[in-house]
Amino acid sequence: MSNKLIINDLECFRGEKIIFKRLSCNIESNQTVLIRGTNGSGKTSFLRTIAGYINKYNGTILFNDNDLHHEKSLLSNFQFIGQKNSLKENLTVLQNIEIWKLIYSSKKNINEILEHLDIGSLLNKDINSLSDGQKKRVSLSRLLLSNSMVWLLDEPLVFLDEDKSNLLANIILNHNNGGGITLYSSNTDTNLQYDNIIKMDDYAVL
Amino acid sequence: MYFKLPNKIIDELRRWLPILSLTTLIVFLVGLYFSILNSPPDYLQGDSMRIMYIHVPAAWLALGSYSFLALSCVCWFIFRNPNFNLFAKSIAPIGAIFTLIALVTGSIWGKPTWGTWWAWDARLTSMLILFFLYVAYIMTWQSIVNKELAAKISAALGVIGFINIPIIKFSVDWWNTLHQPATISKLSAPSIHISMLTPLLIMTFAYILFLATLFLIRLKIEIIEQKILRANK
Amino acid sequence: MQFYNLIIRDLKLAFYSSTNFLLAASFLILILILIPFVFGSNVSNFSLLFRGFIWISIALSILLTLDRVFNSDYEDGNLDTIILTQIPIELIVFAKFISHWIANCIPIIIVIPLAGILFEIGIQDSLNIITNVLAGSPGMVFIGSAISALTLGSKRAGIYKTIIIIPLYIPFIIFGADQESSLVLLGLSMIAGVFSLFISVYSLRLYAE
Repeated sequence: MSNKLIINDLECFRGEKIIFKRLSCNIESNQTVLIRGTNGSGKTSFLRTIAGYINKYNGTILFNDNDLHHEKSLLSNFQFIGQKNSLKENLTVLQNIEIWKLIYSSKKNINEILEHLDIGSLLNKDINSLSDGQKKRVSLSRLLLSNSMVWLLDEPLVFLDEDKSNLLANIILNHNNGGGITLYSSNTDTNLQYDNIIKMDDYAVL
Repeated sequence: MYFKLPNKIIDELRRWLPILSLTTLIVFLVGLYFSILNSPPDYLQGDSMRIMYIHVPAAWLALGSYSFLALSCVCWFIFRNPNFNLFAKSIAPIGAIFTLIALVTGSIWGKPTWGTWWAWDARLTSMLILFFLYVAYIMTWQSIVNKELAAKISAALGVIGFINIPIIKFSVDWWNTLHQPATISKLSAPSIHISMLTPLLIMTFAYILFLATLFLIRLKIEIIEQKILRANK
Repeated sequence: MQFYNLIIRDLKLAFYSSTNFLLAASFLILILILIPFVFGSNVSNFSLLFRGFIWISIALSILLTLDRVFNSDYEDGNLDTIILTQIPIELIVFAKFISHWIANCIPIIIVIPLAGILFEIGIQDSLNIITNVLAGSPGMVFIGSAISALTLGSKRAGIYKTIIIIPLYIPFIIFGADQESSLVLLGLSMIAGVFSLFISVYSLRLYAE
């Protein structure tokens, strides 16, 4: 299966102020795109606009040649993992994952997911007893629960050391090989592979 | 978010505000002269009834201000013109104060007249709720940091509040018929004599001028505040 | 199917933290227990006061648990995830209304006959109150949820959320305390449902940005 995400002349706002403009890119299946930029350059806004949370923008975002502004139903092909970790602090890891499974109506095997992210040993621990890095990994398990084709990851590498970011790299590789697209943002250098880079500062409006 | 009024409006306001304030003062003095010195005492309530000249216009304008606020909110939803939000935001604290005046003077009037500071009748309850609605509206602006979001949320609240008032009035009336049918009749206003109507009308006019003055001052402040905000960005 | 799963999800969430699940109901019982201490045990006719107290307690219990409808999911980021699923946002809101009502008001309704025994209320009267609560509480939950959705992003929402919600509860409390008004309550709930749905959808769209 092949997918295509085309962004044409995108212009985003914060309030009435333009954050960036004339951002265009062409992303195809099996590609990973790094979104690079300083704080406040609009990385998160960019990802949230693609995910359809922000409706006020100029330009077009096409997914498989359909305009996302009009075809909201296509957004279920997208998965946004933000900086909030979506964890219920007083529940265990397993309970959190079960609850996500219901949101996605997912029938996937939990054990496989645990192995991919190396969180099997944490299964019955309460979230508030975990470290930030462990929380991040549990939080990333949402990626494997859903069937979405486009992954939008906002700062996925925060709290992950080199070992664990290799886990994420493998997951992204698997996803892309199945026809998926991955966009992730970072404001530092990463050792995560990418095929394409968008430098937000090139489009910034001062 | 930001207003779209012509820039020279501040100059206009600066020119007209002193004149307006002076007129308000004069009309107030005339009104007070008529209501305190040059009108007969009520044959039943005596001189305590004179508080009506303060109370009734305040209550009318408290309701009127909220209607204006709600109307501005509705207009904002329709036309999306930020000026309407500015109007609503400017009138809210004034309306709240007028409601408070009406509540307090009503209470003071109620003690000698009905022998109680407070009665749970429809009109009093809706006035009290009205005060809370004003407070809620003002708090929305203060407690939401993102002002653009605050504009949308407070506009929605303003409209919800407007639906609220008839609901309260209707349900308290219902409650009275369910539980204690006698209280309403003693609060209904008797017809008013011409010698009392004159001061009441003058006082109402004075209140309207007062409201207009305060509103324009608030508007001026809001405009200047937003200009500063915009300049700082 | 997804709609159904979303309801199950919220119920599970409430059930996993069992203290939450029983919060509304136990709060109700606690308020009722305080009442004899206020009036002394020699007040002969509690049943007359009972109707009023039960409605006040219900209103307070519902207010107490409102944060769980949208606020917690908004703060930890789950709302973002839920909005991106295939379910239309209107149905998401509706699912949340339903699950919150089940999780909080069903325990309350179960507790009412128990409270009836404590206060020597007859079965007939208890049933009558339950009918009224069944008809009225959905409306109260809907309104409360809608207003808390509207005030999601506010720092001090707790204080003034209540200021807005309580007046809207007045009709429910008035008709709830009346014996023959369950149809009126049902009507009120329906109207409240429509408006609340509209307001919640509007505000969720706003806060997703």
